[in-house]
Amino acid sequence: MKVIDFQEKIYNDKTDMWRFANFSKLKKATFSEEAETELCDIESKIEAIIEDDKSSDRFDDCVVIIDGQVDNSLSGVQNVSVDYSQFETSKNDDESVETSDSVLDSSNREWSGSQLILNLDVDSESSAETRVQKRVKLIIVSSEKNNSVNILINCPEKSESSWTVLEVFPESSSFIQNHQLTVNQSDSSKVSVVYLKSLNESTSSDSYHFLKSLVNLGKDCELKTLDCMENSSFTRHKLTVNFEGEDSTADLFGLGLFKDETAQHTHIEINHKVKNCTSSQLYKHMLFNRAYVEFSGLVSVSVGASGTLSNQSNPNLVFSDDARAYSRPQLNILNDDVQCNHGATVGQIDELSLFYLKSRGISEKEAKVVLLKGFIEDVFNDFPECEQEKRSYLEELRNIL
Amino acid sequence: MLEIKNVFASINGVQILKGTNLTIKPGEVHAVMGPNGSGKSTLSKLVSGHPDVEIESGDILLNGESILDDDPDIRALKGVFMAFQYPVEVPGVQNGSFLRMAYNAKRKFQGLDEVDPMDFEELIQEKLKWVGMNEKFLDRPLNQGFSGGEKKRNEILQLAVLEPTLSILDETDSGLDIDALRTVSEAVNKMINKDRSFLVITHYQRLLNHIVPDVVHIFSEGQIIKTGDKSLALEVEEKGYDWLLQPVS
Ligand SMILES: Nc1ncnc2c1ncn2[C@@H]1O[C@H](COP(=O)(O)OP(=O)(O)OP(=O)(O)O)[C@@H](O)[C@H]1O
Ligand SMILES: [Mg+2]
Repeated sequence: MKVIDFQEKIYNDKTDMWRFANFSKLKKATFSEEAETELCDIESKIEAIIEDDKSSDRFDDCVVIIDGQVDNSLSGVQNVSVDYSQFETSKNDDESVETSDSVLDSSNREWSGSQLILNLDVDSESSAETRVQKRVKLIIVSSEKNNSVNILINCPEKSESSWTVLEVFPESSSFIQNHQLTVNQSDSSKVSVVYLKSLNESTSSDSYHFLKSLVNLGKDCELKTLDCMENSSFTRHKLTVNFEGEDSTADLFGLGLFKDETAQHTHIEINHKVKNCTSSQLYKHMLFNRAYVEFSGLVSVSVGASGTLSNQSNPNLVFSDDARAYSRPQLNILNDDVQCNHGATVGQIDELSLFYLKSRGISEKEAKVVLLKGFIEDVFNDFPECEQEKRSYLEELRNIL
Repeated sequence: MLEIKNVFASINGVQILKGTNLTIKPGEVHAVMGPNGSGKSTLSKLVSGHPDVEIESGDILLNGESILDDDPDIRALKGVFMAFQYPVEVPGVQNGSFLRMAYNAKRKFQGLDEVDPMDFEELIQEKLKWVGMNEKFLDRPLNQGFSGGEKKRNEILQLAVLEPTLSILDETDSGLDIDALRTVSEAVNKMINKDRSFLVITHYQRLLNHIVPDVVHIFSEGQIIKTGDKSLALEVEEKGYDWLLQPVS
């Protein structure tokens, strides 16, 4: 698929999943198709990231993926085995029913060419008591302007792992990225996934970032995800969670600090297909300037999925009259015996709290930083590996306020 | 220390303070009593710089200088402290670190270095004892889930740590049990000296048995309508406000 066709197709889709996205700019943008970035520039950047991770001992494995291929010289891999699976060339029938979601799928297949499969190795010696969490960092680097990566992570039965997925954006100022990341959790596995982005100074108004992530949970599984959202000009992250086995839980967190003219579209889809599963969503956004955020959380409960518990919360703090936050909780419940709650708020920093702190001699700026620290903190509770990210959010806030 | 000069002020467009005058000298303890809704809390909010209170005319002087243009944090740094009638719950902000932050803000204002954490620990332990609070309250979010009385103690803990020169206690006694009332009053009494002034708002004479005022004011409809010594409080306790509120023909 040509980039120009991609632009056209995405633009023409007016289905509900895309209703809040403004693609008029994408349609007009021009992207040259040849790679421009010198990889050596990126390599030094990656080396710095790896050095930093090493010194803080945050990860056991580091998988560096450059344009869809694992770079063996940069990676340090002990607990993961790597495989590739070629995509069959698509038949390209059914043009008429093509939605932009399927455009994302087909262009991803075409652009990535193959799926990268990461199998977490089974730790056969350890029992449930001695099981240790494997901490893997994925660094995804794209050199080309329209880059797609398709990654499948397999987490075996009873395994415990955390995956920190860092996408390093291209140095060029305009690009389209269209990645897909699937995690399959076998029974009784525990997985945590953190989505991070490393932006560039030059990342400007013509960068488009699409990510579809999918997690399939077996029986008795635990999933935690954290999406650290940033200031990129256009991001759409669709995160789908499928409960395939009973007695599993998924807790999804997101934190966004948007300070420029940015658009963030988060689409969560949680499918409670079986009994006794619990899901929660806590997505917090702070909007400055002309930020535009859509949060859409769809929870579907199938017939027979009794005992489902689902909770969704989406507090937004808006600091500018030009910023917009749309929250769209959606429930599709086909079973009686379920409990689903949702709550979205759009507001400002609580004036009374601010006055209280100021009345004790704390400056307005410090008071705001402290209150926002309180606002963001609980998102990180389950992610001790993200201390650094938490700190950089606070630093960022200190700079803006 | 504090001079409130003929202040007219409103909240949400409704005039609440209607020509309030009050002068407190260093070292003095003043009590303000008055019916519900008469504007006592509005007066304390006015002095501390609450954004809801809009001043229409008049002036407030602290040590001879107007503080009308000062933000609440600056007023606090200059020595004003209001113990809230309804302390605010601030989730996500730890009580202990908040106290240290406020303490350091004051030190910075005075041109001093940040306090050594060990020294602060020592200080805070002493002040906790003063107000009879357990140190576990330091780890909790600021006022969140505190009982009514615990919140009031926490206000006085802050007062004891920050050592303001002008303290306004807005109904600190309400919500405190009998023993707590004594403990907290003793803490306040320890603070009283010739350089510090207190404005104590209360409905009950009982508090004034512990914290003995030099001057008692009766507040009604946004004005001080009578001023006397501590016997005035006893008189009000006995007779209520009606006799004072009768229009003089
Ligand atoms: N935010 C507000 N909006 C509207 N009216 C207000 C507001 N705050 C205070 N008022 C009104 O101002 C008047 C004075 O209130 P204030 O709290 O100062 O009374 P008070 O003397 O402290 O009463 P109490 O003894 O009950 O504490 C009341 O009639 C109250 O309803
Ligand atoms: Mg009051």
